[in-house]
Amino acid sequence: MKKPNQQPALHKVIMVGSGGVGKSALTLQFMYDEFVEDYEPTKADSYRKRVVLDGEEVQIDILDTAGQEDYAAIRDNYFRSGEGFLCVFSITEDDSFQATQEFREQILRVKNDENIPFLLVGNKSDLGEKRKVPLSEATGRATQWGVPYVETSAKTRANVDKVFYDLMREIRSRKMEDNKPGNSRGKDKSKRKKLKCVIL
Amino acid sequence: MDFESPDVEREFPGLYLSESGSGKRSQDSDFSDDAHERSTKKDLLIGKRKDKKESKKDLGYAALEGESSPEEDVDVKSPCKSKKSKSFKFPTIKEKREKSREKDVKEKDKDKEKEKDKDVDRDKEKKKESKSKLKLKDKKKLKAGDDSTESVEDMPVFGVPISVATERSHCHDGVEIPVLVRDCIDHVQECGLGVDGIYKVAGVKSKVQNLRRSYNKREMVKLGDYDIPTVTSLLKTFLRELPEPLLTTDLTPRFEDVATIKEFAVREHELSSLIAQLPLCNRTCISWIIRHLENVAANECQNKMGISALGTVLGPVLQTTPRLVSVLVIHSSALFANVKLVRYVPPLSASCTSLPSSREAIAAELVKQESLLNQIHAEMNSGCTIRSDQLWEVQRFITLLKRKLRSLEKAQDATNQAADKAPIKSNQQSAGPSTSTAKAASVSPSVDKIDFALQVASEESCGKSGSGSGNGSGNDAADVAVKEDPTEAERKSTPKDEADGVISNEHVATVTSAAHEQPSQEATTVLAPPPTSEQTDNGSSPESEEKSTTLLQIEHAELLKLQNYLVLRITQELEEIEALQGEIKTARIIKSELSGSNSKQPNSDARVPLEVTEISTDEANTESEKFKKETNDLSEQVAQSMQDRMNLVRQIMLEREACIRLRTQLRINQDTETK
Repeated sequence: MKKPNQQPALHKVIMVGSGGVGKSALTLQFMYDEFVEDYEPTKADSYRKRVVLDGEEVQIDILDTAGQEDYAAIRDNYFRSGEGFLCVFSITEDDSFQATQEFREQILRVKNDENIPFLLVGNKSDLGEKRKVPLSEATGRATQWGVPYVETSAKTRANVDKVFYDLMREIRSRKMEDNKPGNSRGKDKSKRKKLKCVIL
Repeated sequence: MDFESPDVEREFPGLYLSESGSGKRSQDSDFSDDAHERSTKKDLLIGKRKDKKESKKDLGYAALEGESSPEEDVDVKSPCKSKKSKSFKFPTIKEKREKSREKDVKEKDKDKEKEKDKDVDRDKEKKKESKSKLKLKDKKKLKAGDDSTESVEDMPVFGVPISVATERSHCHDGVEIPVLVRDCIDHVQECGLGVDGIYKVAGVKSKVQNLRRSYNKREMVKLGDYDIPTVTSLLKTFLRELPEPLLTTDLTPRFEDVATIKEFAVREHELSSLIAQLPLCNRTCISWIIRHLENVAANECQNKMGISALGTVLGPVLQTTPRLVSVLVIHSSALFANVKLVRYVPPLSASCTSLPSSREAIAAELVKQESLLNQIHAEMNSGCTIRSDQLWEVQRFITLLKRKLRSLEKAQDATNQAADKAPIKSNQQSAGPSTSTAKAASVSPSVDKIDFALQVASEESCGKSGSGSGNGSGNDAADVAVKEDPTEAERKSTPKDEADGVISNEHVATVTSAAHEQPSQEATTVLAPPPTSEQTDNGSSPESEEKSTTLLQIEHAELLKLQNYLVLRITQELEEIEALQGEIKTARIIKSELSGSNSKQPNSDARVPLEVTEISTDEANTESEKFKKETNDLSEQVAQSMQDRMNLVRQIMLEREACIRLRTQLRINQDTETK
């Protein structure tokens, strides 16, 4: 609506998940094709990249957040402005899988939207021999949430592009849906509430 | 310029009364608003406070609203937002809201009154307002604000206490004054000091209001595009609108009293003790302003604004008497000796493509950006959601800077490692006075390490010149002198394993002699790069090694001198402090003696009539009070001298560093010439 076409569409993606699951590794692999072995906790980092999504040039903003609870305070500010979320856990660490539940809840709470573009990502698929989270359990949770589940490896770059592109597609279709006047779920919801408030 | 009128009206109530038809406001209901606006400043304050509370209440809603950052147009889920857009069907009202926050509050307060208005539009608006509740008001304004992504009018910089203003618009380089004040001072300092009648001539009102709004919205402002009177008027507006005088309500009367003191020294002393009592942000702000005014007054011959003229013009602005302003300016250099007007370089904007190249510059920029980011976070946490785009931008820029810094550091590490290997190898072969090879590579700033670095350096230069006439006594002296200076060790370059102790001694001796002449050997190895590039000095080619060695030798000599000087200085200061403390002690002793005799008197002279005892006690009391006061004064003096000392040391350090750089350069030049 307001946004003219002169600038490519911008999709804002946020990486969430516990510490050490590979959010930064996935991001850096996607951004610069590099794999960083040494672990250095992230506070928050943000990247922008121009990519071609199904023939259309778009920009992706990736916000790589802190897995540690220490930075939870500033996380809300970012969550609010995110349009899509990659919720990452490590398939070699069950705790990180359990933590996804909390992240999901926090996002839903902040965004107040069940249908926010969201992917559940099981990272470190190259470490199959150390797998702690069974595939079935992960897919089960994803189905329960109504989101796709993808296993990736930041090391081998397996499915790295896929998760980002899939999420961008979701965000894009979501945006188109919302742009259609009066028929999107989000719009309806807000319209209803809008009316209510006026009556109040 | 429609937008201006309400603001102007707020400042100059009744401005439009006589020409009420001229504005876009109609005569009927709007007049009542004008009447409200004529209410006292106090009322305004109350209004503001109220607003603040409201914005706090907003928090819960803010979260929802955040979903749709203004550009996003698509994600319209937030009830708040949609409500907002609907409530903005009435353009006139909307515009007015944008303009003045305070006014808004008043309108609300007077909702009932307004209900009597016949105006249909008005009626509608009233209903809306009363219905939508206070909470939404601020946000409505935000959204209405012409799509500006940075509209933060619910957190203005004008008209709030100085501490709040400082917090809301930091300078990100650690100077805690509002950016606006800094910008104004910078601009006037740069190109306004000679302007005729500066601070007296008023600026164009509409421009001032524009600027005021821009600063309230935290928009990027280029003061350079504005004329000096407008900028000075802006600064005056800011100061005038402070709810409390910059010198604080409590202290202002005391300042005024002190300003009437005739004796220069006493007045200065009293002023400085009063200034020390100001809250930090007030102190910093007043110090910058007065320092700046001092500069203005220094250009009196050009701008015709002398100290007393400035006092007259700015007294009302600072809510003091003209005399006080003049007095502060007169004492400025003594009172605010540690304040240096440094031009503010704001954080680079995220769209900026050219990153700083040196590690230091990147690190400095990172500090600024982090500070900016923290401010954005703080603002967002307090309910302002409009800056989320900026949040991502700044974050992205920080990431970019960090990546660059990291890559530079990696490169540095690589060269360091290469350099580290060589010294260890050479040390195994040398058996001079400084033989602890293991320590040479360790991190601890041990004497040996530095010594070793020296040795390495001299080995090399000696190898070139071949004039190794040693004297063996200098080494111990060097050990002592070098103790506190670990930085040199970092810069050791790869040695040639050739000579050892004798040569190092010889070199050390030259260094400790602190003489101004250059060690003869260095004459052959000149043409060094500028000393500031220390980080990159660890080149691996033999030529650059030579250069850096020479450079390091010179610098080292200079640093040693500096160190000696500083040690001397510190001892002096310590002595002074001791002396002062001694004074305090004596004062205390006298006091205690006095009180001692005081307590004895009644005991020993039990038979003395009661009256007499009382009198003597009174006397003693008054005297002991006198001493108490003296003690306090003395301790104040001590504190003052401590502060002075810190400032001195800091200044000395800076100047010394500059001197070293210059001298090094000079020597190198001389050497090239002689060569």
